[in-house]
Amino acid sequence: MNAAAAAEAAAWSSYGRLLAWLAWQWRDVAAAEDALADAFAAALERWPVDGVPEAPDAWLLTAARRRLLMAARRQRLADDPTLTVLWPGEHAAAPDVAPLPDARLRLLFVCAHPAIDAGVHSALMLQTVLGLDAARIASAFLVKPEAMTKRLVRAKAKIRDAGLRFEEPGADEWPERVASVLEAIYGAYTLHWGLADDADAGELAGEARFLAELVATQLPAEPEALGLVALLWLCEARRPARHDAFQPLHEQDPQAWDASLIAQADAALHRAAAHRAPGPFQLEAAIQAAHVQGRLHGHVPWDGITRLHERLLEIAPTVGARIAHAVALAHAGPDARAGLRLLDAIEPERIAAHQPWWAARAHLLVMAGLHDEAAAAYGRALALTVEPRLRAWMTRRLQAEQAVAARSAG
Amino acid sequence: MEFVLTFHQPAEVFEVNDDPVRGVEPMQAWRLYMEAMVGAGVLRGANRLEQFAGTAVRVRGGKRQVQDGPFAETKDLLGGYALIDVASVDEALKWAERCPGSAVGVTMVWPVRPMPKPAQ
Repeated sequence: MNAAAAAEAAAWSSYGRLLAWLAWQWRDVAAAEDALADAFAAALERWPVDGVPEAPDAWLLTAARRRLLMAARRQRLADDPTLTVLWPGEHAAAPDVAPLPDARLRLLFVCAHPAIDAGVHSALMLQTVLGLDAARIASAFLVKPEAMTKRLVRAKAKIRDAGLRFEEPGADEWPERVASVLEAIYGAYTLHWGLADDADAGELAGEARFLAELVATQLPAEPEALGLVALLWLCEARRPARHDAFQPLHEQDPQAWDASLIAQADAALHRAAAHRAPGPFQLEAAIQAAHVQGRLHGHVPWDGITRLHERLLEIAPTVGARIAHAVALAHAGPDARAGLRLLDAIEPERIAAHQPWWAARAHLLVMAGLHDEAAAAYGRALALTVEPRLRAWMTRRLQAEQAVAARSAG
Repeated sequence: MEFVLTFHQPAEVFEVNDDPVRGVEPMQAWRLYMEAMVGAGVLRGANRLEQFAGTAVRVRGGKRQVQDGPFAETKDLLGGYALIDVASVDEALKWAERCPGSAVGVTMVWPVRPMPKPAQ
């Protein structure tokens, strides 16, 4: 690696941590980003010549703070003691390693602040805590890059103008605030399912998993944080079973799953259960755990899974939860038509372009022996599917049902 | 909100699609895609175009100039379009993403500029 590349690698490896730290101290994400960008530009100019400094983080932090302070001076804010206290000596010590994760956690709470539109929480986390650029985030969310940039700029302006504090929420608002943080992390995780490129998807999943682990470590008494991390571990444990061809869970080889990650998830779920405060992430994780254990031991406990889905519906009756419940009921009961009735009860305008509903309906129609209708539903599901592996699998299912329907008609 | 989706694809793709054997699966994907838009109630109109038979007409300095396609300056050919009515640009992008042509070419999403109502 040449000097320039070494400098670049050293600089970028610190980005997320430094930005979190600066933004927390400065309470202005946009200003912290600008200052850090300038510091990086200076580093990329100087380090290839002077060599990478012994404490690159401290060097960058000092440069960025100097820049922040100059900007603040121009705004005649320099007298503010909260700013002058940040003025470091020329030989600032490297920032402690310990407070940094904490700074990132505080930043997560600001990103998921109730004053900021919930639809931007995940995107804001990806940009400010993990340093992803707006164009990549726009791709992940499937929005116009320009629109994503605007949303992020607006959110950061709100943080600054409303003076949203990087402080611990009060006890009364604590549960709601934790829930928004966890939801935004889960939202960031689910984005990777839409990315066809495995390397990109793996990276994004890894980043979200890192945030979930950070929160679970920092808030060990929070059962839902444990539930989220268990859920992500269970999903990630099955990643090694991913092949060039899509395989639904019941066709995967459980031997390819990451057994130690599954054990870790089970342990986290047990610790969470001890709090006797079930929430959506614990229930979702418990459902995943039941499927995984069912595959490992050759018997899927559909009755239990159906009851978990019922609990989940009581808390959050989303379309996704209603679909999953319908499928579980069809498997648990004597007649798949019971599940179909639940599916058909969902309002048509909510499912007209909702791929999971059509895929679930096709699956239950096959179970009920209605192959003609199943083929039509697979056709609609296929048209709404983008991921190539999933498309290939869906095409095979469609052809199989068309063949069965043709045989019984002829 | 109305949007026009235009479907641009390389010439080889059209050759495959028009082939009676190799074209079966891609054309089924296109049919299912259009049916899904109808099913979701967003499709206002759509057409395929004779992508190799386009003709360009220019008038420069009062002199006309007529040129037959395909045109060397564009790699992808315009093979069709759809007019859709959806709630937001995000939804329009979602339909563009689902388009079978997006996996082999490019689908452009154009907001329709509302025209002033003609005077009575």
